[in-house]
Amino acid sequence: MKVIYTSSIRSVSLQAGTESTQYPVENVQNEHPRKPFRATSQSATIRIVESGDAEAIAMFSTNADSVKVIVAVGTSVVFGIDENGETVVAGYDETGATVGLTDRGEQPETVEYSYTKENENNGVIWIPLSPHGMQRTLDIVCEALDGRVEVGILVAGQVMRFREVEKSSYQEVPLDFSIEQELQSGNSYYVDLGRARVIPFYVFMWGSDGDDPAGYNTWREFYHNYLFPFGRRPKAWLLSERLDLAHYAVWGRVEEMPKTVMKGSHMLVSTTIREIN
Amino acid sequence: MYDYGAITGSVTESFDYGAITGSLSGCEDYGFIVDDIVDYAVWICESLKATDSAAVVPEDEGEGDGLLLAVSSDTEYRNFSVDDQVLSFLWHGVVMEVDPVKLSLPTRHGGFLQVSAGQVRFIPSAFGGVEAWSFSAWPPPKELDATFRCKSTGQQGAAKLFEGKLYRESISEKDVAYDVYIPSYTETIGANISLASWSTPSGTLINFFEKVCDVLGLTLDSSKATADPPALDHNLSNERLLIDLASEVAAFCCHLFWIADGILYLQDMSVSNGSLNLKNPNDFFRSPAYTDEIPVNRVVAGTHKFEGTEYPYGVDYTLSANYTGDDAQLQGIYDLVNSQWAEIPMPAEVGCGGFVPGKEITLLDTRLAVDSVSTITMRSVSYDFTKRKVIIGGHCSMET
Repeated sequence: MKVIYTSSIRSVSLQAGTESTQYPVENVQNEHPRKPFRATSQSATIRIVESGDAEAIAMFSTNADSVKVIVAVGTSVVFGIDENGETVVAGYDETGATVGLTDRGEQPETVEYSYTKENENNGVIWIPLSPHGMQRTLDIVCEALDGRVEVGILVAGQVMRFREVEKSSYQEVPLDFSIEQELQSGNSYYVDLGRARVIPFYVFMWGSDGDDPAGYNTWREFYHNYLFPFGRRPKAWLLSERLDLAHYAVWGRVEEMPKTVMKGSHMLVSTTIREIN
Repeated sequence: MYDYGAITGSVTESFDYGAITGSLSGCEDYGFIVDDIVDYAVWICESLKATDSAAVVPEDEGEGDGLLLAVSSDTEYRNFSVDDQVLSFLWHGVVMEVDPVKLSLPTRHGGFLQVSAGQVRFIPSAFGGVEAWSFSAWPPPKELDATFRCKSTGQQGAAKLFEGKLYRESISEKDVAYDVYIPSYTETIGANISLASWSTPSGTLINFFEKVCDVLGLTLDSSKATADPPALDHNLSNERLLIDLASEVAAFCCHLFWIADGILYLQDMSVSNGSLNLKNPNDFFRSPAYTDEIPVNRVVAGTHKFEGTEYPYGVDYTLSANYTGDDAQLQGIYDLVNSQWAEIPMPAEVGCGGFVPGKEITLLDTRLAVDSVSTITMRSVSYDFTKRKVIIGGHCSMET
């Protein structure tokens, strides 16, 4: 189980494509899947400056069919190399006219990650990253096969990793907010107001001093670095690393503070994640 | 109109507002440089009040549901709703609760169609610049203009319900509450005025309303008013708010009126204003309510009265003034107050945008002991945005 618990994104801008005026690119950071970023065409490139410690990028409520994360580079234009091996940046021809410079566009592209949708992904894309160590700019090229590309949530940050949830404790309880009334005919008048999952589960975390020998994050780290600073703010969760992330990656919040029971050196943590969509 | 001359480059997002007229106060000086045109178009998108055409675009079909509330202060406007609605505009879900908003007449025999109940409660961060979509003012403005629309899933566009004023009722940690009003008017009419001479040229009901519209700065639409307007005969003893007087005079003459977009629509209660067929039992909810008020035996106005013969055990219905100086209107009032009344609850798709005073609903109710066809003339409407229900009420006549 993973959760992206910090935000490494320093700034967001639109590198390519145009945004719909009502749905600007800054909306990807507002924690509301229903206040999305919408482009006016099939593809757009979201440029993020990330602080260098991001271990994953997660996108929710997006219709992107392919996503590429590219390390952005500056463009430079070089005319050539003279006989001494020095770079020439400008020059004159034999008539004295200035010689123009053209960017031939042959820049090396470092593609950090490439994703193409193969099966239904429920609008969720989870991209693992290796922390770079230094601030860098990433271009996230999003393309939809049809219509206008849209991204509801984009988060990138450090990841806390825990054991898989205890399967026997894991439940998914969809809540339906719809209303229904009876018409004169006896038929139902149904207004669909959507659904969200409420997911209670237990998970074991190391509860004693020091690091978890198995390498996961500990209960104390979860409490002091996640629960205490962030409380019930929505975060990107990956509830199972082994199963299909289209279902198990959830944008949600801790529904109420976890209950814990110490079992040996471990803490049995009982909590509930409520999906926000 | 602003003449931009040749516009080059491209405007990425265009909304057709028609001719831009009137004054754009509070706007910056853009000059007319081509690069600024896109910014100007963006400013227009953000600053002009959302019109019906702005809430209606083909791509909205199928999405969006419930109340769409376009709210404006003196300097800003925002699109608010109960849940975030991703339409061609983004309507932000900052309305915590909205009570059913009810528009009704002050009497069963006419008057000025007004909001009789309604409150909207916003989350406090809708104001004070807390979020990108908040109003920047704090404290929240004492009054706001609001246009109420209702969108149904699967329907193209949103139905405009009415324009109102929100008057601040309370501020707390948990919410900011506003009461809903139909905008009203502060003009008064003085004491000792004879309505007959004030209502030039001939002192009739229509002349009275022409004069009222003149004073209030409205245009009169009397196409549905009576073709034979009664002559008014009354002297005012005190100074009064003109709109209140107009409401009483209309009610006395069995007329109703409402004001929309600068037009005052005056309507004879006995005239039909279109029809709505609700014979399909999928178009309304179970159990419409059919009620009768306590019977009225006599209608009394000043020294004149009309006494019916049907309900001698009924009460006296006394009007505050007699505006025509005779009893010619009183039988009409008697008939209306003794008339059956029906309230028909219907789904928002059917009812929103369907309320027009005077429109006649033909309803087939097969759940009563005997199948009955009722004709209901629309007089009041209640919008329950939480339950997506509209209740239209009015005088009813039931037949088998």
